[in-house]
Amino acid sequence: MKVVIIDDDILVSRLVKQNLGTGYQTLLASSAKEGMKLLSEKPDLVIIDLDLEERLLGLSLIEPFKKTGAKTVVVSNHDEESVIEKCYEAGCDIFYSKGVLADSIHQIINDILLKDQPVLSETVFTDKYVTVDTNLKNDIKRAFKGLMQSSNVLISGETGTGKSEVAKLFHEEAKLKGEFVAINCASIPKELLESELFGHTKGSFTGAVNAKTGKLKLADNGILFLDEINSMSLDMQAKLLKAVEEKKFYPVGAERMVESSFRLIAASNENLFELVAQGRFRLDLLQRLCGTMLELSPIRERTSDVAPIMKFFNKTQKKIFLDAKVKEMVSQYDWKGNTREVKRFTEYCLNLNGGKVTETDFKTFINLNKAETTPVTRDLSFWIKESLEKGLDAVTDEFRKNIISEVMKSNANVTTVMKDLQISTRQFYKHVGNKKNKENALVQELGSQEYENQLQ
Amino acid sequence: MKTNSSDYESKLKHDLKGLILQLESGLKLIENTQDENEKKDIHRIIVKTCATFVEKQKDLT
Repeated sequence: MKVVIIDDDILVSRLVKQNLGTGYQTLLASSAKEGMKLLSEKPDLVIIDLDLEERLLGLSLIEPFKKTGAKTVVVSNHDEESVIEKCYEAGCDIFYSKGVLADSIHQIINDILLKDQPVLSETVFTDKYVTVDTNLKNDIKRAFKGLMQSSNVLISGETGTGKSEVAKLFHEEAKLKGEFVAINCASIPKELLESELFGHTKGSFTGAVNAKTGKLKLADNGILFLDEINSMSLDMQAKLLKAVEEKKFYPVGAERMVESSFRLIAASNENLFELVAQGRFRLDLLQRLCGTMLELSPIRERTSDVAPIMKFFNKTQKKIFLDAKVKEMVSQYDWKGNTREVKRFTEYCLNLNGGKVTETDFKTFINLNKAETTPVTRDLSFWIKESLEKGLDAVTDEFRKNIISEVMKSNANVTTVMKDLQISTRQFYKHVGNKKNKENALVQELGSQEYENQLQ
Repeated sequence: MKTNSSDYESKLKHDLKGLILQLESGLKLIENTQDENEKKDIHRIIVKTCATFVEKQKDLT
């Protein structure tokens, strides 16, 4: 949320800015002339001191800011009725005594900015994020309210619980002026993440042929969604913390700071508090992120959602019927893939010859599904268990293969992926590609004679 | 610029309220910061604010 304060009493406006805190991007102007320059910022709220370069000059600023859609608060040490009347005639939303401005700033925000804010309607839970679980609905509504009150939102939940869907629906329902900008921190190589987030200037590093606007700036007046923030490196976390706190940052190679009034939604599929305890996540960043926390419970804890979610994904006229035994199995199944798995189950049911789903059908689905599940995002305990069962080498190979496949999803250029992951051609093709690719890679690396020797 | 008695009182009260508010804000800002440079900057603004107030009152009396 963006706030402009136009006041020649600099210490008063600095104190108001301090009291507003980090959830707001606060811009200060100490004269009417400077204030007019901030019109293009399209603030949500403008606070205007009545007496600026001249007595009552603040009156002339009300209308221009009203036209940008900003709510206007006029503050003054004047308390004459005639002056107050002039302010309301000029279109100000609230007149406040300047003496209480700093202490009352949050009350003012509540009075004129938050009371008209949208709330999530029940239809959201049938049309966009399907659930009949009352607790989850309330949690989602509360998180949305938190987001609208300018706090950051941290969404946690297992893979497939719909974290990005919730972030998107928040943006749709919030009706913000800016865009929804999403980035998956795990899919961007560490070296490129800074440039993706903050942008870069032309020539700031090898390969920076053109200047690039970062995601933080693209999300100005909108929502920045950082998925899998748990995978972000500690030094990157430090840079992000500063940007989240100050709502301004330096693009890579830039000498001037860029400002952006973005709301932040972060998602994690690991417990960030545990990561803090392990030294893998910064406590100060976590404190900034968890202004409002939303935990999306897994489907196994709300199996009553399976039927409505299936109905949501079934875009055909074919009606799916689960017999009594299947319904019981559905309620006891662990649904590790959560909503994604329910979607796959719906598609599986639609491909059956009839509309009735039997116990055998469900068991077949479970077996098929096990083979398809990608375990790359599982937590450490999963990998330890797998290693103890299959051996560390086999599991490490599987893990490498999954990482390469995931990175390939966001960058199909093999050479770039190998460079980003710092692996050789041989290592790459050991995990990905067909037999011919693997042979070619080995020939390239070893030379044809050595390759022949190794085969013998 | 000379002013009549009631106008003078009204302007003085208005300016004094402004000055007190600035000083109180400055005091709170100093209490809330650990940054020595910021403290010096606030101090500088306080001095300037007081000087401006004194100059303005000279014109009024």
